[in-house]
Amino acid sequence: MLLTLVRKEILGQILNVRFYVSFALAFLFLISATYILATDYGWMQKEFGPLIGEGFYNPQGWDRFWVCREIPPLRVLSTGLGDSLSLRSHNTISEGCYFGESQFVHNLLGDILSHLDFLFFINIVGSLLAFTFTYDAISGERQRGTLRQMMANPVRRAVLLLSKFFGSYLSFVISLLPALAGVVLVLYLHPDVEFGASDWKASFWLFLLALLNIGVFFMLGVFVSCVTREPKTTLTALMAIWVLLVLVVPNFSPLVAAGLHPIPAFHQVQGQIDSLSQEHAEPVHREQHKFLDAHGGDYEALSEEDKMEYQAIWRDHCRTFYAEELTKIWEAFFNKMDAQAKLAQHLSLISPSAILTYLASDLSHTGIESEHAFRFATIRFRRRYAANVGEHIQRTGDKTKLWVIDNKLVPAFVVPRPTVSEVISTHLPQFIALVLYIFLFFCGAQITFIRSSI
Amino acid sequence: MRLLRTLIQRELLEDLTSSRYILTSVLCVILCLTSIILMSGDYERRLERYNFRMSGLTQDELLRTLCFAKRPQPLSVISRGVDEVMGRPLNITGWQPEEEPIAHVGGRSAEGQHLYGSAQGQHLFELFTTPDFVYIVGMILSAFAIFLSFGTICGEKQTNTLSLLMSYSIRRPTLLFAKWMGGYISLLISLCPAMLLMLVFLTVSSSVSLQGEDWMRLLGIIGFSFVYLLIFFTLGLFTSTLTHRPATALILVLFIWALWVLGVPRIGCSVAKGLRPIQPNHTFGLHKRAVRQGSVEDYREILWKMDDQYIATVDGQMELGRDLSRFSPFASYVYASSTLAKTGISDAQNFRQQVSDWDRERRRGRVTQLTLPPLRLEQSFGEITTDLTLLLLWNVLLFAGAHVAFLRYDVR
Repeated sequence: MLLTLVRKEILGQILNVRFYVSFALAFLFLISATYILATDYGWMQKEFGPLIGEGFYNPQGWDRFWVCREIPPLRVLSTGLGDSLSLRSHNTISEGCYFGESQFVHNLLGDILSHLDFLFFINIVGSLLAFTFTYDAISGERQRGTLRQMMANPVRRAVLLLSKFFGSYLSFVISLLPALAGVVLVLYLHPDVEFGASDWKASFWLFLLALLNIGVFFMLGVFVSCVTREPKTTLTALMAIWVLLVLVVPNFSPLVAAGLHPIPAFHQVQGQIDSLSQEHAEPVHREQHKFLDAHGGDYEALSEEDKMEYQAIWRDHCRTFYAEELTKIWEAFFNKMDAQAKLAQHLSLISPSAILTYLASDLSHTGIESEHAFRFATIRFRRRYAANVGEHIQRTGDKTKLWVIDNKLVPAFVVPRPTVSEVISTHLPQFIALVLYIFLFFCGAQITFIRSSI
Repeated sequence: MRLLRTLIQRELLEDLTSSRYILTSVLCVILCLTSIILMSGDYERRLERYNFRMSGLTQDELLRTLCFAKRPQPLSVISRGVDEVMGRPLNITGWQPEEEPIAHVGGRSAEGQHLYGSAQGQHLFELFTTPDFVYIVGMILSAFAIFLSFGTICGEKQTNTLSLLMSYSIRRPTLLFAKWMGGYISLLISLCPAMLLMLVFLTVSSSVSLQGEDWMRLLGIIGFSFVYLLIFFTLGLFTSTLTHRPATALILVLFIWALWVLGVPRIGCSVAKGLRPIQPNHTFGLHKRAVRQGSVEDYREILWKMDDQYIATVDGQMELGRDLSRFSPFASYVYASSTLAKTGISDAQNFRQQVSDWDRERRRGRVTQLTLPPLRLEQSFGEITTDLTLLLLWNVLLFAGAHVAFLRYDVR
């Protein structure tokens, strides 16, 4: 009976204009969005030049260097943090590491109009299409009088609901498949994008996640259709719920998390850094004065060697201070930020849309976890480099390495990238939450349908 | 005239007592309040950052550090535009003009601000779309407008009340106009509580302080929002006159909405990137370093000419992108609102020019006070005339289309 009803539903949907509109929208949007982002990806690689690709970059003879990572290839499907994702950090030996650098002169249209990616389509358009497929599932039948006819047959209500869900969901998936195939083709053929095995695996899980997310909205549509009597009212109610789930909850949860798990204010951290800097700088300045006094008291009169020795006192202090003491403050701060972001993620489990966004951005390494991984990797790199320079100075007495970068002392810079399996297993509760939502909405639909008159 | 008034009254009565409009009203209140609370919190943080950097900064200190930022605009709580991007700290380093044009975004001054921004959940504005008022009206309320109007004609036909209505001596244009006007007024009435609450919040809020001119600009944005929503209400009405079943009208109007609001603006920008490509910044830097001739002053002038050409290509690409994306009313609405809120592209270009002129004069030995006046009200209104004309034109075209379609509509 279920299969018969599902077949009937699928046939009904495929012969309906909404199937073709869904197909057209998915095809146009997904393929063009993927192509545009793939082209942007290629442009970004040219734009950054040598400052892209995982590793260390130091122009010859400079006292500054960059640690960089490659642009995540899955950015073409999920832009995540977009331009806020740090792809490189600018470092000097005598100062800190700087994130958040960007071009002053650039095309601002990308800042004013948000990115259209695969995730955006599924989150916004996909969920709305889910509602158009299901808003009149029960209420429409009731209004047309066909529900009564159907229930005159020995059809269990649960079976009817399931057939409505599966019928409309499968027809939507069928309409989406050509677009997904087109996306895969674009990714495979585009000259600027090179996907490895892990990237294809992550894409597969991304598609699966998207389909699961859409399933939640389908079941929600069926549920609300059971609650209301008129399709127009169903639609308005669904829009209201959509606004809450897609806009309000994801944006409010960080605010709530910030209230429940406050972290030090900007001034406090900056003040801490400033007072620590002063505290550590004073003995170093005294040492410099002592050195100067011991060598005549006039800096200009010093020999080149002594000048270097004088400056080396400060530079050596910077080497250890910025790599050790200051990074401890940053690490503590980043850890608190991490905890707050995790709390926000847990709070936004109420919204399937938020679950999809977090999961997708972590799978594609364009999200908050990836950003934090890069920052911690930079801190660890600076520590190891400072330690290597210290060892070299102790061993050889050569203090020129405090001014000039020596590639032989540079450790490897690696940003840990969790595998797809690790991301899935870490985020298993979120996957389960999506399945649970489908089950809960089905239970709600069942209870409402049983209690309502046909 | 009396008949028209009667029909409009009937529409108003029917709509305002229906649960859809009441739900719409409640939702608008939730959305607008959510938006204004989040955005004013964001504005407060950015202002705090700005004050930390810039308050008490004297001209001498500025000349020594060459590090400053653009003050966040209060109306960025309504339309964020590029305000956050332009508000990032700038350093005019010793590398200018040899390296990137004009100034460097980031460096030591950026570190704390970047940490702070990330800490306070600012990253989440990048993960989830910024819910400013313009986004809410542009995306959400426009969808609401079409959901409220898609069944205006075909819905009446389905319930057989349209043929009944037409059996009276009512002219079709009169009926159509009454439905259009009545429905739109109902939509505006359901939006009023939300708008009022938002205005009250802005009045009493201590974090956002609006001056006289800001209120004028805000009224301009609200006016634009009404014209914009009218387009989508008319679009819903138009598709309703093209179909005979509400389900078909809904899917058709959703298709048009998705393409028009989501697809066209971004595709327009991408096409512009392909038609007017910009030289990658890295290669541009290499070209500049390769040009070393004459004295420092001569070399500097040559580099500045190269910068001006580079900036002209960037502006050219932006201009083409804007023009192509203006096929979508969403793009016109966003550009106009952000211009009125002083967070638009013209304001960013104005700021960039001011910084560039100040720095060049400084290097030529003519040091002046760094003032960064925003665009004046009349300048902003001058910038938005194209967008206003386009929005009005869309309204006229869509209503004309609905009129023609309804004249040929089978009401039986």
